[in-house]
Amino acid sequence: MLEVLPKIAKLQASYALGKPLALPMNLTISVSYRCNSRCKTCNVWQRPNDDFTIEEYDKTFASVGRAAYWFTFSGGEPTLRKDLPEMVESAYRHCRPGIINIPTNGIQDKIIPARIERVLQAAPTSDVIVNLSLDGIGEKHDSVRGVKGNFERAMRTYAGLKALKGRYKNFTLGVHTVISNFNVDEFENIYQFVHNEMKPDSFISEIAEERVELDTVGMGITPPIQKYQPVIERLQEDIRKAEFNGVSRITQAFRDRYYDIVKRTLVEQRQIIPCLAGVASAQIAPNGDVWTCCIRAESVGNLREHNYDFAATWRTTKADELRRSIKAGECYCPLANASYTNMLCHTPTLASVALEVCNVTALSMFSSPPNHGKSAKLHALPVINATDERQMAKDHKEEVEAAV
Amino acid sequence: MTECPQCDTMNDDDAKNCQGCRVNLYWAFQHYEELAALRKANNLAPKPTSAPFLVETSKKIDDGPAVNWLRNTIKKYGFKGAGKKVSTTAE
Repeated sequence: MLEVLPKIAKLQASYALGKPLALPMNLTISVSYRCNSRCKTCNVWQRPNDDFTIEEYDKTFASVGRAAYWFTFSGGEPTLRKDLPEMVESAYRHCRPGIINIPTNGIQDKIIPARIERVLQAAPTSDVIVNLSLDGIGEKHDSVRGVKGNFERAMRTYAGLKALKGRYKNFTLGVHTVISNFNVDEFENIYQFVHNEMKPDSFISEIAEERVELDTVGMGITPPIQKYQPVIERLQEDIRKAEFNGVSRITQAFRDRYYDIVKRTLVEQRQIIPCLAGVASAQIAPNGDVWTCCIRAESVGNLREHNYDFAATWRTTKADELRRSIKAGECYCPLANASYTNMLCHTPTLASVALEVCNVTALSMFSSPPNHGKSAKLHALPVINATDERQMAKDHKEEVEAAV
Repeated sequence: MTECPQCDTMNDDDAKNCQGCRVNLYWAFQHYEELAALRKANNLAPKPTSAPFLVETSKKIDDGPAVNWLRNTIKKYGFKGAGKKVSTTAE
């Protein structure tokens, strides 16, 4: 993770100058608009298909090189593409990302686990995070996602994915909930179910928002702050109470701050910290259009017209115009993907996370932690990742051996 | 002409988004009524206020490459019955 630090300095300089001195470290690849969900919070499936081929992705990733650290393969439903493992393999070969993130609706329960296993094999040294969408329990989930039987299939997919965890150390299995007006009142049920039954490595939530990419502008799906605040503060409280080690502690500190940003964005309707979309993060649409972000979804150029050279597409006049507009604060949003990169590039946030992590680590070193036992720790959601679980198992074994 | 269920603006039959409030008309015929009731229960106005930059950017969709495809789809399926014909909607 430390390898991102030199990139951050270059990206901060790029933002200050309004000219890209480096390529983005966070790339979202929307691999297709095809989707077998019909969510009440999304119309992306209505977009036409003109998807990149694997050869086109290979040329693009070759041009990106080692610049990008964090890849998200999204959609539509990314697992509908049979060649998803080949895409990941190509990204891994050319770019060696530290993190690869893939959301899924879990509908194709007979196909997804095997396809994800091939993804894991294709990127053996990257942290592969697969997030299963869960917007309700049982029929409520089916209703929000618009597909009868979705919940049952998603649970079967989840079981299939969980079975992979023992075999792949680079695999993190998460659950992802979009909180909208359609389900904000049900969130406690979702939380309890995830907490008590699913026990994923991570549980993350994102607020439903209006995005040009998803054609959700004018829909009013975003819950009001009065409804959202108690829900998200419950998650934050658990983050602060839970015991985390190493990288998980850092991740959780960022997550806590991200939820603060979301609340403030809802109320203040402005950029809470500078947005580096168009500098540190970017999105590639299925047809090769390059966007600064999916909220505005405005093309800065098409890779097909620039011989699949990302840098050339990234340095167009249109890209400069958009960077200027974003820097001037002409837009704002709580988009999670861009927000995490923004926080990494925001020195005060980075410093406060570093300080918090150092304090908590020092405290835990000099005080005797209460013995909650492994079971209690495992239940301390929202997030315990695979590394923590392995460490806890190791600690437990050592305790038993010492007692004997 | 088709009347937007959200803002009552009259739109061409092959419009994808309402020319008044920008809402996706296909979605509006499927889900607006339910969402308006939820918004009312949450003491919100039935019609949301979208950020001006989003409305402006969304307008560019009308001139984008997807327009013809979408118009043909809407012509083929119509608005009100579209969910039953092309989606797997539970209700």
